[in-house]
Amino acid sequence: MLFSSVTFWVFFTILLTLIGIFQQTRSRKILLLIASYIFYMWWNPAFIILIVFSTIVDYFIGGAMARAQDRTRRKMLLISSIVTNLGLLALFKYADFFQDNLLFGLKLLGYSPSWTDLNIILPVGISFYTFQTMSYTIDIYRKELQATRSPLDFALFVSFFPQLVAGPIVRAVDFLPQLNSDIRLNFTSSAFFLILRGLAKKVLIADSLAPFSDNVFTTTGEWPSIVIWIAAICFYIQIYCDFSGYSDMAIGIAKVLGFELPLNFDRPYFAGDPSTFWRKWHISLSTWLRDYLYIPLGGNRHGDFNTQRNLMLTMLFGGLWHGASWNFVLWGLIHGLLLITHRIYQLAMERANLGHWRTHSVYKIVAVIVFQFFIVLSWIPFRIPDSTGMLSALKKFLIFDFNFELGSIGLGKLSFFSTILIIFAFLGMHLLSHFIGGLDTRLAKSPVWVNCLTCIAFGFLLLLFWPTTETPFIYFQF
Amino acid sequence: MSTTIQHLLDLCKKMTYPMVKQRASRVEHPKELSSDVATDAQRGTSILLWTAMLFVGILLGFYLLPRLYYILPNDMARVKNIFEAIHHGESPLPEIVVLGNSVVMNGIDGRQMNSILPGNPPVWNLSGPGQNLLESGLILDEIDFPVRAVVLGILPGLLTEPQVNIPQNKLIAYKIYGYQPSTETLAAFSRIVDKDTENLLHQSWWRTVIQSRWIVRSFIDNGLRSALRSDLTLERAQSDLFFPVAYTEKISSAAQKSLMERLHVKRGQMDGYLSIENQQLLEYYWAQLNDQDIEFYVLVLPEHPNQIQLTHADYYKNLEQDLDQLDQEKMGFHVINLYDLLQEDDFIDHVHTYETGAIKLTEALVNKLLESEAIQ
Repeated sequence: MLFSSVTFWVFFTILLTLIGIFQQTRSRKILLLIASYIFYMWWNPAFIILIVFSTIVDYFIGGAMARAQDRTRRKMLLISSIVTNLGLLALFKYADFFQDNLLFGLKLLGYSPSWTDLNIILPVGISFYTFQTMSYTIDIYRKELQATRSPLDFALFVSFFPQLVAGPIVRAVDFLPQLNSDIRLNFTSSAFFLILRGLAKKVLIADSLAPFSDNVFTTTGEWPSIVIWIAAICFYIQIYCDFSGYSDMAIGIAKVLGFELPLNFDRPYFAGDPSTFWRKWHISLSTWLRDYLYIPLGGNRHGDFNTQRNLMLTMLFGGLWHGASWNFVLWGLIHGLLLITHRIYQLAMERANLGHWRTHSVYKIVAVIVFQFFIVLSWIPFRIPDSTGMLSALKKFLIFDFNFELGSIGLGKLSFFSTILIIFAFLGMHLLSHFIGGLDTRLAKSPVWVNCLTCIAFGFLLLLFWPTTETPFIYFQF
Repeated sequence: MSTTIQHLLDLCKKMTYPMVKQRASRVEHPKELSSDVATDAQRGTSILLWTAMLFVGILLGFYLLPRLYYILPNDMARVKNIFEAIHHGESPLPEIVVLGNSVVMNGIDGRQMNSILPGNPPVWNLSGPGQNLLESGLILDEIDFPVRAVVLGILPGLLTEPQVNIPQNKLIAYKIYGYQPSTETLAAFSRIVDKDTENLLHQSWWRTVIQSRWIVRSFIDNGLRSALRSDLTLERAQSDLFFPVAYTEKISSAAQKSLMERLHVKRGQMDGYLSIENQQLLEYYWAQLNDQDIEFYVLVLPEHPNQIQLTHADYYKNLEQDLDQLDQEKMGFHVINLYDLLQEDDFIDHVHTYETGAIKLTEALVNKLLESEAIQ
């Protein structure tokens, strides 16, 4: 059930009606839990067992950990929680990957064992809710969070449908306290326009650009450098609008239901260096990785080499989190290298007493352009899992062939011109948002007639530009 | 209800004032939300108002979409022009109709045929970009005046393709421009087309309108492409009923080479059989036309010498045998096979004919028509 589907909005309207009928907080929690399970089961009913299993295990482990005084026992409980959660992730997300690589390794050594492919289906959203439940037990272990006594609250925390399948990854410490208050529907203009903003990003931009980049990146060998560049920029915009659009809708929908979810994107394409980028891109994942992986590994506390090693390990893990495939590892490697290079560069600048340059506006603009070039580049391995296609695209992206003869290569069939127009429209709006702030917040403060006209225009544009083929959210596959 | 109306009135009074305070912090506790200026009921009403306005916009789009097909230049404007000519065209109406894809658009000159053929019968070239066998059937379905002959041009590679379908956007445009499939066509097509195309043929008007929204992007693409590419004579390609040439300038040898490498395929001996679906379609068209005493010509279009070189010689023989069998079995069914008529210089790109190629192809077609003795 996609947020951009009619089915979802029928489902959500029914849910709001039922919540309106049942006034008690407990009834509303039960309704939200049932709705969350239905939402998840819409995709594949069988996999609800995994969520229920994960919920039961971590609820009891969390409770037992809170009661345990002995440090060793607490540690054992934490390890059992991590092993269970990562075990599920390893089985459902990485087993096929391990199998393929094992077989490849054995083949290199001259063995060809007969083997039946596992072909395990990846349960949607498993990476998201696994990280959420792990954060719960780790926080209890660290004594940063009280274990909840209510299984209902915990089950709702694990399965809360707005962010269940594609984040933001919500920490128990942010979500559980919200369940201690009354659940009140919250029809604010800001929530409404946030949902609209998300819908616009997803439908009008991401889905409209998807056909071009999909077509080009499945046949990279056929296109000149300029087309590869345009396709890379298309995907650069597509993935941002797809994912941040989903996050906007998730946050807006949760807001209507009376919950606050953390911000997941903060205009990452204005970042001029990798560490700023990771403070603005998929914030809930990057802070999770920082708090539960990078800092426990030692963070930046044990010298330059260890800091760089920790940065690289964190980014490689972050890459692998996105998918069980080498192209995601490569994507993580590129980001790890960017972070390390930037750190070295920063230290060198400070040693040379050139740190003040960074505040100069020309430096900032150049830094954004140069750094965003690397971000565009990094999305190529992320988008193309096939190594031949990826290398061909990377080669054409980096070694420009200056072939501008685009007249008779079939671009007309790929809606080339409207794609270019959407790219410019996005860049213009994105730049505008940098100076005037988000359109949703401005609209929430606008007079009624402005909002009415905006809604009419938006409805009109939605009908006219909604792509005829449905494109699932990219992050559903993770 | 009265409270809602009251709130709407309040809203109107506040038309020029901001509704809700901007919330500053990113993560807030829900309890703080009650501090918003507006009450819950007011906020609920305003959301209802926004949602209603959203639907007004959607309805406006729904009302305008079919009209945009007549206002905006788009890829399917040729269908509109063809339908207008068929239903409201001025005399003389054609005696011979030629159908097919862009190769026919670029390759067969109705005026030249008119001037050569005895009695100078008017000839309309109603081909269109990407018009395949199935799509030609939609135009045949619409022709409601008597003609003497129908020539259906098709490339060998398309005759051997197993599945024939019409792209969704095209079929939607046909329906928006007024195409209503006859019962016979629906029955015949349902045996051949895939489920999606069949559903599209049957689907309601409002669903068709909603799906017709691609027209806006097509308009943008078309408009910008026309503005930037002087070699594309889109106006002529969309409106000319005699010789709707789409491509006029030869492409560079580098682009030609790249296109040939990309799009010319190797074909084995066994690939060259008329597919069952195409055979069924040809038989259905023949039956329909034969009932009205109309001669039916299947014109196998010339291929680029490079493509012929990549094709096993038996491919063309097998295809010819299959078509000849139909020719012999069915009265009024004729096959004109010109697959190897043209030289490399007669092509403008990897598939479309250049001026010289078009003259040769039209002359050859006229000669074959005269040979068949059906057209005198």
